[in-house]
Formats: sequence, structure tokens, C-alpha cells
Amino acid sequence: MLKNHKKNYLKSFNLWVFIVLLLFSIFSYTARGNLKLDFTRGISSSILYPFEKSITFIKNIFGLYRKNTALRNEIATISLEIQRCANIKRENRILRELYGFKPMFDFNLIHCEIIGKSPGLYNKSLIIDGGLEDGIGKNMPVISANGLVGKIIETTQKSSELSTLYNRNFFVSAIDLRSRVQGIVKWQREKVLILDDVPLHSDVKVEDTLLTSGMGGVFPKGIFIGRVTKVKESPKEIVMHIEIEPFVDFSLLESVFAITESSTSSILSISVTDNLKMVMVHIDMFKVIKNPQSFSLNLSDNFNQKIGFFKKCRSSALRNINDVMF
Amino acid sequence: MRVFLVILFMIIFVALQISLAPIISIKEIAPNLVLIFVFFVAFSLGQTYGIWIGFFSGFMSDLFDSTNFGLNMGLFLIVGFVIGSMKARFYKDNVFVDIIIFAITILLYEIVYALFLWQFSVGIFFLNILRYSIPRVFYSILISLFLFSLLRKTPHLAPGN
Repeated sequence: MLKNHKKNYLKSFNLWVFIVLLLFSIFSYTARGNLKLDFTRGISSSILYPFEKSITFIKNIFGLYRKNTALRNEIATISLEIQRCANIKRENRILRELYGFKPMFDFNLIHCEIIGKSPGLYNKSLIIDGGLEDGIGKNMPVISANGLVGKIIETTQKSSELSTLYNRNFFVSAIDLRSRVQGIVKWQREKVLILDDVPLHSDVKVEDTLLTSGMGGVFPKGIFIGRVTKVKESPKEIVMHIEIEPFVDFSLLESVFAITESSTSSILSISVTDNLKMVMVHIDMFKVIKNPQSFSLNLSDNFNQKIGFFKKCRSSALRNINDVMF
Repeated sequence: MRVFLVILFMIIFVALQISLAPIISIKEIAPNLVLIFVFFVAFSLGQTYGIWIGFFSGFMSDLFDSTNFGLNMGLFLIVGFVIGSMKARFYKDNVFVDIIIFAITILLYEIVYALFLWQFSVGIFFLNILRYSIPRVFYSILISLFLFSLLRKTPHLAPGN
């Protein structure tokens, strides 16, 4: 009798617990993205981190010899390429200065190992072994040797979650390397990405290469995204249907690089007019909005440097500078 | 002791799902190790364990997939609750009973999961079920054959121990 009573009580208690937890799950699913889970995620990551790291370590040991041989070959090829690129870079810098173009970004990269992949289908998100401790923050772009991988969406002290190109919430502004046509790259299905918002009859062809356009301020300009595989135009639509295959093979990805603040400051260039009455400052507005304090520091540093330079050249004319134009 | 061991195993299984499953995946088809564990706990230890382990393992899995946060939590919870209630009627000292009920469970799980995942694109739903979900079901069943036998022999995890 007592046993039966206990059993019934347990059953009804379980049912109530189940209902409450199910309602919590439904609420979490509907409110996903708005929930603040940093603390819970931090604890969970700290618990799982040693397990993930150990498994990745063991996996890496097994592939060490094969990887070593492949890397040696790669180093030889890359060394030659670096020598060639260094020359081109120098030429590019000189030409840019001659034409008064903004300097190109120099990326600061943080190397991270992939220690986990999201449990769901496809590699919608990856877990990397770099976190706040390593200088990684939310919205940082992530690349591999082949091109764009995604961006950081969650960070904890030791690890971070990054959203890949296959995530349905991932969008990146892109530009066609050949024709300079611009659009938005987003996931469509399985392993297919599309270039959206491209008007009909635009000059986009199969095998064209797409790069990040730099619009939006999250992704720097010029990172390889993918190759156009299919172009379709329908008179019923107002935009073209362009399918893309990413350059990065997510199933083979083992390590990535997070792009931290580029070494170029928010001040792109400071120039002084010929009569030395006006200083023109070119600034990167995205960086200024993101970090106004750093901007004011950069401005004073750059300004002092520039003034120092002019002092050496024409110290007497310096007093005439009375206006700063943005 | 049992509670401690079950929690420890839960953490290990979530970690294995995140880091080992992608390594042993075949053409991006990875087994669902967490579901195997949730099913085993619910089926052998009953509804109370099933509910809590289902909920927390889903919660931990979802922490690493912010896009679908709450989905695994809800689905594993339902699996824990339903399978836990079947323990008294179906649990026998035979691993093949576990496998048959697990096969039905994972098939239903994959269908519901796919429904949520591709709710905005119905046209590709059936194609993805055939291409990804069904192979995942078979792979998980194959892995469960080994894991169920192993878990049944683990002290404190099976009801007889």
C-alpha cells in the first residue's frame, strides 16, 4: 500500500517536473539568441575543456607523421610564395602612396585548434581552443589557409564558439573578384551558399571567385569566400540565383585563425595641405564607432608623430596650422 | 554513488559528442552518442533519471550550438520521460530489446529534429531525411550495439548492479 502510494507520488512528481522542464525548453528555443548564458556557458566549457582538449590531442598524435610531411611540402611552397608576395606588397604600397589610396589592412592572427563541432547536422558551429584569455572576442572574423570560415559568436575564458558559413544566421557582404559585382553571401541548403541581392543581368559567371567586400565592418576586405558554381536568371525574379561553393572544406578543418584588431589604427592617413594651414585626417568610421577611446589616443599619437615629422622639415611654418578637418 | 557516476558519464558523453563524433564521422554522418546515453539511462534507471539526464545533457549540447538552443534540451527531455516510463514494461536482461526500442526512438528523434531544422524549407526536408538522418540512425544503432553492452557492464549504471 505504502509502496504503491510512493510510486504514484513519484509518477505525478515526475510528470510535473517534466512539464516544467519542457516549458523551459520551449521558452529557450523561442527566445534563443536573446538568452544571456555566458555564465552557464563558462562553467560548462570549463568542465568540458579538458575532455575536448585531450581527445583533440590524442587525435593529433595519430596524424602527426602524415601532417608533418604535408606541412614540410607546404612550407617549401609557401616560402617561395612569400618571397614573391613581399616584392608585390612593396610595389603595392609604393603605388598606393603615389595614388593616395588608403593602406591595406595587416591582419593580426591568433591560431586556434578546433576542439569540437556542434552536435547537430553539418558543421554549423565549431568550438575552438582560444577564448577571452587569448584575446578572442565576439564577432571576430575567423579564417583558414583556404579562406573565410566564419565569425566568433560566443566566447568563454578558454574556448569560443564560431558560426560557420553554413549557419542560417550567417551573412557576409561579398564582391566578385573579376567583375566587382557585390551581394550578400548566405547559407541556403546543405553545403550550398548563395550570393543574394544581385540584380538581374549582372556580370557574374560560373567559376568566378568571391571575396569579402569589407562592408559592414565585421569582415576585412579581401578574404576569399568561395567559387560560383551555378548562375540562374529567371524573368519572374528580381535578383539572380547564384550558388557558391566555399573554398574551405569544413569536414577537413583542423585549425583556424581568428583575426584580431588589424595593426592599422582607426587613423588611416594624416596629410597636411601645401600651405600648411589645414590637416586632413582619413579615418575608419567603423573602428571609431567601435572604439572611440582608442580613436582619440590614436589621433593624438599620429598627430604628434606627424607634427614631429613636420617640425623636422619646416618647423617655422608649423604655427600656421590652425584647422583640423575630418 | 550512482548519481555521481551518471553525471560523470553524461559529461563524458557530451564531450565525446562534440570532439570525438566528428572524428569518427563518415562523410559528415556522425553517431548521436548523447542520445544513446540518455536512452540507456532512461531505459535502465527509470523516468526520474531519464528526465534529469535528458534535460541536462540536452542543455549542455545546446550550449555548443547557440543557433538551435533549446532544441536538444526539449527532445532529450521527451526521450528521457517517455523511455523512462517504458522501463517497467520492456526492460529485460537482453541488449537486443534495448536496440529495437532505441532504433524506433532515434528514428523519431531524427524526424522531429529535421522538422525543426528545416522548418523554413519543406522542399528539402525529405531529401535530407534520406541523405543524412537515415544514415545517422543506422550509424548510431551500430555504435549503440557496442555502447549498450559496455554500459550494462558498468557498475551502478544498470539496475542489477
